[in-house]
Formats: sequence, structure tokens, C-alpha cells
Amino acid sequence: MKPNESIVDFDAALSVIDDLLRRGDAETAFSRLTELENQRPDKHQKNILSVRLIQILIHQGQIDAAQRRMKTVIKKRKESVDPGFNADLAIVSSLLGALTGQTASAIKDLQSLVEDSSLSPMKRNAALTNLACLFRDSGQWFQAIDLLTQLIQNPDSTPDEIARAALIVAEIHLDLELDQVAPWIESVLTHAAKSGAWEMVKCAEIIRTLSRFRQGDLDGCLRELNSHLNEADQLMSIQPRIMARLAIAEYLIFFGDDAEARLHLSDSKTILDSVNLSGLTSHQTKHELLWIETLPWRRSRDAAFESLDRLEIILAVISKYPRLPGVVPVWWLSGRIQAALGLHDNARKSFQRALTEAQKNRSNRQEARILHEMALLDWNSSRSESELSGSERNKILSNSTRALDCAMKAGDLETEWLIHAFRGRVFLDSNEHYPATGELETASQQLLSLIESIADPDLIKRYRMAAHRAESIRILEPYLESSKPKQSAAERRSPPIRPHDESDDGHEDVRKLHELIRALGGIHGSTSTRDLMAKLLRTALSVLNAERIQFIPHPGLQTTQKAISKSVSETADLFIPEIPREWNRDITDSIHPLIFFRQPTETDIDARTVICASLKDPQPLGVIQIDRPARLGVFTSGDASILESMIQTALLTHSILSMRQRLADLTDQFRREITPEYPNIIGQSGPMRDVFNLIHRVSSTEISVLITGETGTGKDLVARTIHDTSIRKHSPFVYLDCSAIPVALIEAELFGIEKGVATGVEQRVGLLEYANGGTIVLDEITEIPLSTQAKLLRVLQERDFEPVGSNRTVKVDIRLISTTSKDILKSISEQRVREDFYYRLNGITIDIPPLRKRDADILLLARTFLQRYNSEFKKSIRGFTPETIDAMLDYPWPGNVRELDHAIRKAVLFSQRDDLDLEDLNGTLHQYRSLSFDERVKQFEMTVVNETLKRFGGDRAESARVLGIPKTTLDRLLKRSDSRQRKE
Amino acid sequence: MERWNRVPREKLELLIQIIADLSPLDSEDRLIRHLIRNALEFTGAERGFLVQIDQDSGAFVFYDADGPCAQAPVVSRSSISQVLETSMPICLVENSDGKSISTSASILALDLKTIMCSPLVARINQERRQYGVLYVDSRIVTQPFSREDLDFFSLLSEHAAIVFDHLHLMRKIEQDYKLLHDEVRSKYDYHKIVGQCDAMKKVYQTLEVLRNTDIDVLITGDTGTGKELIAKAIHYASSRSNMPLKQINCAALPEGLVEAELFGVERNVATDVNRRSGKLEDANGGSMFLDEIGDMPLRVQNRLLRFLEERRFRRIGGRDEISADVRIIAATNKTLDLEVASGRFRDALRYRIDVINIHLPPLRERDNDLELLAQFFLKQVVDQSGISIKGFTADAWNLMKSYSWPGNVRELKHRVQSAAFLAKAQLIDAMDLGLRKPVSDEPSLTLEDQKSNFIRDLLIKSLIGADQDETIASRTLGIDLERFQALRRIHGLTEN
Repeated sequence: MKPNESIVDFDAALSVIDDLLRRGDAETAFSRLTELENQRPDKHQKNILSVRLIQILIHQGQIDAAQRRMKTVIKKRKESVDPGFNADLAIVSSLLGALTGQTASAIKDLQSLVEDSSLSPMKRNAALTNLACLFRDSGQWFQAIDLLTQLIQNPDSTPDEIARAALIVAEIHLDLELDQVAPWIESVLTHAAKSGAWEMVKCAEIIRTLSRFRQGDLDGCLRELNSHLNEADQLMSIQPRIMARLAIAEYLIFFGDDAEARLHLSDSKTILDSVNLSGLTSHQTKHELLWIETLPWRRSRDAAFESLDRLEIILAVISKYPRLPGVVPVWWLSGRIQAALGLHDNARKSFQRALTEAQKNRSNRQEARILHEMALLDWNSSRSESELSGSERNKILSNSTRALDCAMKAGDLETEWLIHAFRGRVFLDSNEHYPATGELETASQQLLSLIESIADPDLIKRYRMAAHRAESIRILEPYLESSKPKQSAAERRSPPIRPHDESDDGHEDVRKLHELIRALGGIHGSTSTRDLMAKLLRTALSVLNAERIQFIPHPGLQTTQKAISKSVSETADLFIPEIPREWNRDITDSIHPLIFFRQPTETDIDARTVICASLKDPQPLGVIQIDRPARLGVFTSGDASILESMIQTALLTHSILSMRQRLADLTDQFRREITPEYPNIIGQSGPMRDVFNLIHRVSSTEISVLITGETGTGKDLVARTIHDTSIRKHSPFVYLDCSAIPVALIEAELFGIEKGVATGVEQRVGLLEYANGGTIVLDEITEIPLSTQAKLLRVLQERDFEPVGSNRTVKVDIRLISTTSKDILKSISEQRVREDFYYRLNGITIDIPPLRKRDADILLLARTFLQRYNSEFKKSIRGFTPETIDAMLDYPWPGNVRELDHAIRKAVLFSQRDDLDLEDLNGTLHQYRSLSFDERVKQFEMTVVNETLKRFGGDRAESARVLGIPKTTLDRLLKRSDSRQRKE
Repeated sequence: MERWNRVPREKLELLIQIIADLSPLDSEDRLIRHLIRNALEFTGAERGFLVQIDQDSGAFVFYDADGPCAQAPVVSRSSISQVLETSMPICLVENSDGKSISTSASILALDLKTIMCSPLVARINQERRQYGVLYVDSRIVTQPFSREDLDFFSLLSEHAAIVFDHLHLMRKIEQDYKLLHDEVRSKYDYHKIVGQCDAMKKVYQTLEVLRNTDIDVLITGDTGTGKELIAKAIHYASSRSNMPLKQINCAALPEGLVEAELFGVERNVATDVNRRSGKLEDANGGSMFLDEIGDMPLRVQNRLLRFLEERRFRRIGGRDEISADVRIIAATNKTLDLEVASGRFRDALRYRIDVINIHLPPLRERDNDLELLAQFFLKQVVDQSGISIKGFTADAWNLMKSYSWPGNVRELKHRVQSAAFLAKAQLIDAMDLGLRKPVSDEPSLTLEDQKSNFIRDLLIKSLIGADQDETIASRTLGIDLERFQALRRIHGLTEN
């Protein structure tokens, strides 16, 4: 372009300077410039050099010097007519303007420059590029992209120019997380390679790797980034060096490796400082944001406040120099830190700012994440204050729906699973299990497909670890397990087994510790040793992620603790895995739990990893065994120590509980010694003492009891007392009056009925099943039909039965008490009661004597009832008149205690006297007193006859013989009483 | 759930350590000291207190790491009250006026106080018991307590409350236990046994010798002579009185049952039998009262003999031997020599249990004890029921002394108790004692005999009701005087 021959050299030298400037090496550029100036350039050249000097000054941050220089150059400009120079000058002056806050006018200047048709394509493209940068820097991303696209599509553009433009576009896409980086990178790579601009190639490659990583394609990213870093360092070019370091830091932060990330960030900081760039470059912003991410602001308030201060500085600078990528990430990060600090309102504002900016940028990815974070914030803040109200919940859900839309548009699977898991939690929290399950299943499928897309097993682990930082993952665990079977055939053949001394990853440990603390609370809070053991097993199972667990009590254990087995799934068989004999001694000898593991062979896919621990208090209580298939990971020593601390707590509680139990048992024993034995049953008479004796004897046994006695003698009370003093006292007590329900329904009532046996029949649990573990009382046993008796007999013998219309076998453990007011021997002879059934019922018979044989009790009971009804009816009747006492003692009380009870109740209610009189005890009692002497003797005679008959099972001949009368007399007596009864 | 996330791992591990160290079997004081010390250490707070409410005055009682505070410290009482009221932990910052300001303020003046306060509430099975509050504060702070501190703090409180609850329940049971134990010991103190006769004095001497020993004892004596009472007196006077006393009546239960009750059953012996411990096991450390040992089935006798020799046994169907430290107190109303002679009792067992023999005399051989006992039982029933009976008529005394008392003390007791209810005057009469057997209990009586007894009863009752006036008595029975007199003659009721 220049005719002067020295100019060739000059141009070459100038391009070197331009190149240096582009790389950010202002110092070398400056020394080259000084060299050139020393070569006596002409005026024009001097001007050109001045422009370069201004550029250098800008780079060095000496804006004031640059401005002064600019003024002198502009003065001299009139002397020049070179359009190229003018264009350069305009470009530099507008850049300078932009830096001093006159971006608008700078843009205008450049726009007019670009429209100048006289401009050479090269200068025009330079102006375009700079204009685009200005647009970009003022946040007008899309104008910038338009301009650059124009440039790239222009056939006149050189490969170098195209590559540069494409790189800027790619960077914009990356910064805005628009995720359409690939085509631009391709264009950079093809064009830059043509022009040999290796630093651009490197930058493009770094951007490509970083965007791949952000898309969730994790395999080999770190390796690629590291090789980019090495190559960039050899280039001695600043931009790729910094970019590579920032990218690696971002990768490391994602995987939670903050310390390592900080190393790379310090490195990039040194580089940034060494070039002494003016203002805050986009790299510096990115660097600062990443640095803050590595600070422990989640855990330390100090760090959090420091981070907020740093962010504030960034924001202040950004507001002055609206250079690019900053705003959204800065607000987003501020919001997250504020949320962690509990500054909910501030966080909300920050997220809102971030959201507005992100929407302006049309970045779905950013929008999705911000919206999700907002919903999470709303949920956490409202939950910590009070119950979640419906409207709050709806707002949260609608925010997360929007977030989900955006994430889907952005194809951001990671945010998607996070959102689904979060929604699952929200639904679970309001007990909406159906939608919750749906969300959680989707979330776990997405997470699994993310994980499955990773080939590198180490990376899978690290990814899972990173995912663990999201609170949501723990809720997904059960779903992850269930959606597991996509295991490859290769994996199934050779289970990946880790050696058991390898320490578990940290997050898994923290999860276990959380669960452990909760579990310890439960174990501490057990109310009985049985409850304690069940809790211990249940929690050990879940905390240690085991498949099965069982407790085998020590054979010499002096309690009746049963072996317990539990497993995560109903279907898993609960067999007791065989412990090799040689382990047995080790287990009982060792204080600490032992881990056992059989090394699997190629074919042995069922190898299991086992922890065994003995429980000593200090007597051996038994052994706990916990296991799972070795392919799910071998138990570690960490697992064993977790089990150990659970067992220690359990043993502590066990010793307290067993001491408490021992004391409580003794207290019971003492209490029985000093209080009347059966407070419910009143009786001082000899016959009743025999009854008490029998009750006492049978109640500590499991024997079947048949209670006989006339109606109203209190058979039910005796049955109840037997139950209440037996070891089954805390188990169900079920009472069925067989005479009160229709014969046809007795079976359904006892055995239960299956749904749909007949139309309209609902399923019903039978009383036998309901009484399982406890006592069932069958009142008036003789009323049960023969067929049912046969069935009951089978229940008594086999301890199981099938409900009506069902083939399900129900196992029951019940104690049977039956009662009857009939003469059961007679019922047998009349074949209304099966004889074998009777023998089964009748382990011991307790016959409750009729009231008329309990003279002493009549008055005792009468006084008791008097007191009871005095207080019930607010009366103050003192006692009974002597006539009343006589009458009560004389009267045969056919209705027994019940009759006495009712008679006194009625009397107390209506009496106006101080002592109850015969008048008050009217009805039968009064009538009886009015019976004539002969009638009373005849009535007595009949009572004797009937009782004798009853005693001999209705055998009239035998009865007549005992009574000392001919059988004919007996027959006559009976006939007479029959006819009298008929008359009545 | 997520509050667990905020407490960092190291703190979780420490918390587990602290929880494991909370030893509830120790005293409450030690628990409180341990708790406050740990709370201070892990929150980095300046002061820490446990605040309880005095039951009587309603005032706060403060404990610090050295025990109860002599003077109530200056603390934020309002926050303590608030926590007591709401049972929710709080964390706040107060300025020097005691006004609380939100912790969310990021810049804090130096004279602020930062406070955490958490309730000690044990929630077990729907029951909820409050054990005060745990309180920590720092008076001059730059760094207020964080959410994470509060989480840790309330976790610690939750666990501590459970331990307090254990202590509390334990103490309550211990109190009950001590009271009852004293009461039972006093009830079965043999010095209180009624009876001054020579035979009983010999019994008391033996009991004195047996006091604080572990020797097995055989008590013999007729039915109703009080063998069970003596057995209990032996147990409750021994060093085993704070251990269980189990008893079994060998005569009342079928053979198989006696064995199962005594030795327990291992699972799977029969399909319908659950694993069950026997009374010998349950009595470990205490005593076993074998009533009616003379009626013990031979097979069970063999088992028992083996136990007596080795103090070890197997459950029915069990493989492993169980050892039990049990004192055997046996009793029988049979003459064991006769039982041995007739082959119903094993000789070896007789020798093994008949080391110390306490023989209880029948009531008829106990001279004046009858009177003492009758008075004693009467007083007992009067005290319990509130009926006003003063004593016995001379007739009653005569009848009682001439009666043979086949049922011994037990019979006497029942007779006196029934009579007390049946007596129509302030003194119990011979009639009230009912020493004649009840009508219907005599199966051999003919209908005629029973009728005669019945009529005689009616006549006697009507006469008593009419103060021996035949005219009135006949009227109450609704028969004329002549027939009344005739009946009276027929049934041998002469005028007295």
C-alpha cells in the first residue's frame, strides 16, 4: 500500500506490534514501538505509531495518558488523508470513548465508520469487530452477534477476521450459556487454522470442551482441559492460558474439588496480574466469580459475608464498565449466598435481578436455574417459618414449572432432574404421594440416564458425589435402586467389588452420620427391650444400606427374646446365612463388630459381604448379622464402626430398660402382695375363696378354662380377671356372646369372611384373628352349632384356620376361655356339644357358686352396691332394716349377683328412707316374703331336686337314689313343677 | 430433613460421641454438668446454663457446668420463657437494652448478646415431658450464633431430653419400688405373725436362724396352717427380698403344666407352644415357692432334683443348660416319709429338700392363739369394711374352742370374716359362725334331711327376728302358733 520501501519493513514491524497487542503483551509491543520510532519514521508513520501507542496505553490502563496522546494525534490528523489511518484512529478513539464512559457516542462513531463505503474491507472489518465488541460490552449481545455474522458471511473477509469474529460469537454463546457453540467453534477452527492463528484455535478448543462439559458430556473433559492448558502455556499467549485455567477451575468446582480449583485460579490470577490489563476484563470477572464459588460460604458465615463483599465490588465495577458476562452470574451467586445466610428477602431480590437479565439474554439455561433456585428459596424460607400455605405452595410449584420449561428448552438434563426431585419433595411434604412418586421417578430416571451416559467409572463416582450436594438426591435413593436393573450383562457377570479397606466417599459417610444420629435418638427412646431390638435392627438396616439383618439371641439368654430378621424387600428370603464355624469364636470374643467377606469367584455372583457383632451386657445377649450382596459394595471398617456406635447406644439403653423392667416386675409383685388380689370381684365367702384360688392358679398358665355358673354370677368378670392377671394382659381381650348372635353368623364372626363370598359381603376380620396373641372368651359355648365346634376344635389344636370363603391360612395364638350357664354334661349327652370339644375347652373348670350359697357375700355385695348407688344418685342411705337383711338372706336370688345389683339400684333410686326397707326392695323379694311357709318349703324342695339332677347330668335314677326317694316321687315332683311353671 | 445437612460432618461425629457418652445411669447432676460442658465446647459460647422450673415457687433454677448456681445469673429470661412456652428452639441477638434484633443483620455492634435456647422435651409414645431448657449465650460478640449452631444445639437438647426422661422414669420406679418393698417387708415381718404358743415360738426361732441365709427350706403343716405366709416371711426377711419370689402350686396343675411352668419351654417342642421362660428362670436371684411339693409328679421331681444338685437346668425341648441362682422354699401338707414309702416321692429329693424343716402346728394345738387370731381377723375385717362389730359372744367363744378346725387358721379367718357380715348384733354369735356345713354341700343328705334342715333354719331365723317370741315368729312365717310349736318340736328346737 505504501510506495516507500522502508515502509515494507515498517508495515511488517507494525503487524508484529498489532499481533503482540492482540495477545495482550503490551510491554513487548511497547519496546517494538520504541524501536520503530527510533528508526525515524515519517510523519504519517509517526501518526500511525501514535495510534498504536494509544492502544498500548489503553492496555496498560493509562487512560489519561492515552487521552492526552489522542488529543495531539487528532490535531495532527488533518494533515493526513490516509483513510486507513483515519479508520484506525476512529476505532481507537471510540474504544477510548467507551472506556471513559461514552459508549453511546463511541458506538455512533463506529457505526458511521462502518457505513463509510470508501473504507477498505480490512479496516471495515476491524471497525465491525470493534463495534460488535462494544455492543457486547454494553450488553447488546444480539446486535453484536448480527454484526459478526455479517462479517463472517462476507466473502471478502479474511480467514483470520472470520475466525476472530466467530470466536467472539462463541464466547458470547458460552457466557450466556446459550449452548449453540459448536458451529461457531467449527468456523473458528477451520478459518484460524488457515491463517495459522494457533491461539485462536486453542481458545476455540477450550470453549468446545467447556461447553461439552456444561452439556453434561463429562467423559475425558479434565484430560482434554489439561492438555489444552499445556499447549496454551507453550503458546505464550495470554487468552488461552487464562481460559484453560478458568475452565479447569469450573470443572473442579462442579465436582466439589474446591482446593484444587483454587490452585488453578491463583495461577490464572498471576497471569492476569502480570499483563496489567486496564479495568475489569471479562476474564477477571469470571475469575473472581469462580474464586468466590470456591470459598466455603455454604458452611461459614465469615466466608459468606466476605463473598458478598467481593460480589459487591464486582457489581460496582460492572455498573461502571458494563463488560460482559458478569451480571447474571454475579446476581445469581449473590442470591445463593444470601439464601444460605438466611437473608431470604435479599436473596429473592438478587434472583429477580438475575432473572430479568437472563430473560433479556434469552438464556433458557440460566433462567431455568434461577427459577429453580427461587422456588427452592421460597420453599425453604416459608417452611422454616411455619406451615406451607396453599398459595405459597402453588407459587413455588408454578415457579418450578416455569423452571422446568426453560430447562427442557435448554436441554439441561441436570437442572431437570434437580427440579423434578425438588417437586417430589414439595409434594411429599404436603402428603401428595401420587404426584410425588411421579416426580421422583422421573428425576431418578433422568439422573440415571445422566449417569449412564458416563463411561468412566471414576467419573460416575465423582458425579454421584457432586449430585449428593443437592439435598434432593437423598430422597431419590429408593427410586434409584428400583430403576437400577439396567445393569449391563458384563457387569452382572463380574460384580465390581471394592476392597473393603477403601474408605467410603465423604458424602456417603455424612449421610450415614445423619441417619445414625436420628437412629440413636430412636434407640435411646425405646420403651421396651423388644422395641429396642426392633429399632436397632431397622435402623442398622437402613443406615448401612444393607439388604438383610438378623438378631440371633444367645442360647443361654434368660429372656424369651426371639430371633428377629428383617430385610429391605418382602421377597428377599430370610434364611440365616451360615457363618463359617471358625468365625463363631471370633464373633463372640471380639468387642468390635467384625466384617466378613468371602472372596467371590468368577461364577460366584451371590457372594455376600457380612458384618457380625456380638452384643454383651455384659452377659452375651446374642449376635447381630447384617449383609448384602458383595456386588453392591463391600462393607468397610467405617460401616463397622457405625454399627458399633449403634450397638453401644443400644446396649446402654438395654441395660436401663432391663433394669427398669426388673424393677417394674418386682414392684408388680410387691403390689400384689399388699393389695387385695381381685378388686373387681367381691366375695368373702368360702366358695368364692375357692374361685379366687382357682383364678390365681390358672391365670399364670395358658390352660383353657371353662367357667360355669348360673346366669348373673359374674362369669364374664372372672374371665376378664383371668385375662388381666395373665401374661397376655397387654394383648387383646375379645368377648363373644354366642347366644346373642344368629347361629348362621357365628362362623363369619369367629373366622372372618372374605370379600365377595356372597353379594354385598365386605371382607371382615374374624374375632379369632383379632384376638391373636390375647384371650378370646366364648360366652354360652353350648349355643355354638356342632359344625362350628368342629372347626373351633381344629383351631385349638392346629392354631390356624381359614376365613370363610378364603384359602388364606391365618395363624393364631390365642387363649380360650369359655363359659356356660347350662349343664354342659347334659348338653353332651343330648349331643349338642361334641365331647372332644368339651375336653379341649375344659382344661380347668371354675364353677362360680350361686349367690344363695354365699350368705356372707349377699350382705357384702348389698353394702357395696348401696355405696356405689349412693354416690351415683347422690343419696345418703345408711343401710338396711333387719327385716330386709333377713329377706335378702332368705331369698334364693335366682338372678344371682345381677339381680341383687338391680334390686339395690332400684331401691336406692326410689327410697326416701334412711335405711332400705322391704318396701323399697319390692318386686320378687317382697313377693317371696309373702309366700306361705309351705310354698317356701316346696320351692326349696324343687331347688334341691334340680341341683341334684344337674350334678348327675340329668340322671333321674341316680338323683332319686341320692335324695333317698323313689324315682316315681322324683318324676312326680318334676311334673308338678313343670305344670306350675306352665301355669305361670 | 435438610437441617441435618447444615451441621458439618466433624460436628456430627462429635455429637455422636457426646450422645454415646451421655450416661443416664449416673446422677442427674453429672448429666447436667456433662451436657453444659459439651454445649459450651461445641457452640463456642461464653456461658451455658440448664434452666429448670421449681415445682413449688415456679421460679427458674439455674445450673451451670459446676452444678446449681448459688445466684441466678443475668440471662435473657424472656427467651427462656418463650422456649418453655413454645417448645421451639430459638437463636437470637440482643442489644444492650435486652431488645432482640434479627440475626439477619449482617453488621453487628460489639455490645450485643447472642443467645441460643432449646427446650429439653422428651417425646416418647405420644407422651411429652419437659425437663427445662438448655441455654447458652455470649455477651460480647462479633459473630452471632448461626442456623447451623442452632441445629447442632437443638439436636443435642433432643437427645439430652431423652436421657433425662430415662433418669426420671428410673427414679420414679425406684421410689415406687422402695416404698412397696418396705411395705411388703413390713407386712411379712414374722414378728407380726399372730401366735404366742410354744410351737409357734419354735417356728420363730428357726426363722431367726434363717434370716439372711440362702438355705433351702421345707415347710410342713396341715392345710390352712399358713405355710405360704411363712414362705413369704422367709423370702422377705432374706437378702433376696429385693429379688423375685415366684410360686407354683404343684397340686393345682396337670402334670405337663407343672413342668412347663417351672422349667420353661423351648420353641418348636410342639407346634402350638411358644418359647417361654419358666418360673425358675424368672426367679433368678430370688426364691421359688413350691407349694404342695408332695403332689409333684415324679418326672418333675427328677428334673427338680437335678436342678437342686447343679443349679442348672434345661428348658423343655431345650439343648442348652441355663443356670439360675434360686432359693427353694417347699411346702407340703403330706407326710413325705409316707409318700416316699408309697413310692410317690423320690427319696433323694426328700433328703435334698428336707434340710431345714419348719413344722406349723394345727390350730387346735395352739392353745390361746385361737383367741388372738380370731380377734386379729375380726379387727382386720372391721378395719377394711367399716362394719361395727365389737367382738364375740361367750357362746361363740365356746363353740370356737370346742371346734376341731380341720381347715386351721384359714378356716378361722373365713369363718370370722363371714360372721362379721352375718352378725345382726354388735357381737358375733355362735350361729353367725356357721360351723355347721352348708346344706347343699352335703351330697349324701336325703331330700328329707335337707328339707328338715331348711325348715329348722327358717324357724331359728324367725325366732331370732322375733326375739324368741313364738307368736310373732309364727306370724312372720305365715303359720299358726300351734303348727309352729309342733314344727319346733319335730325339728328338735327346744326352748332355751
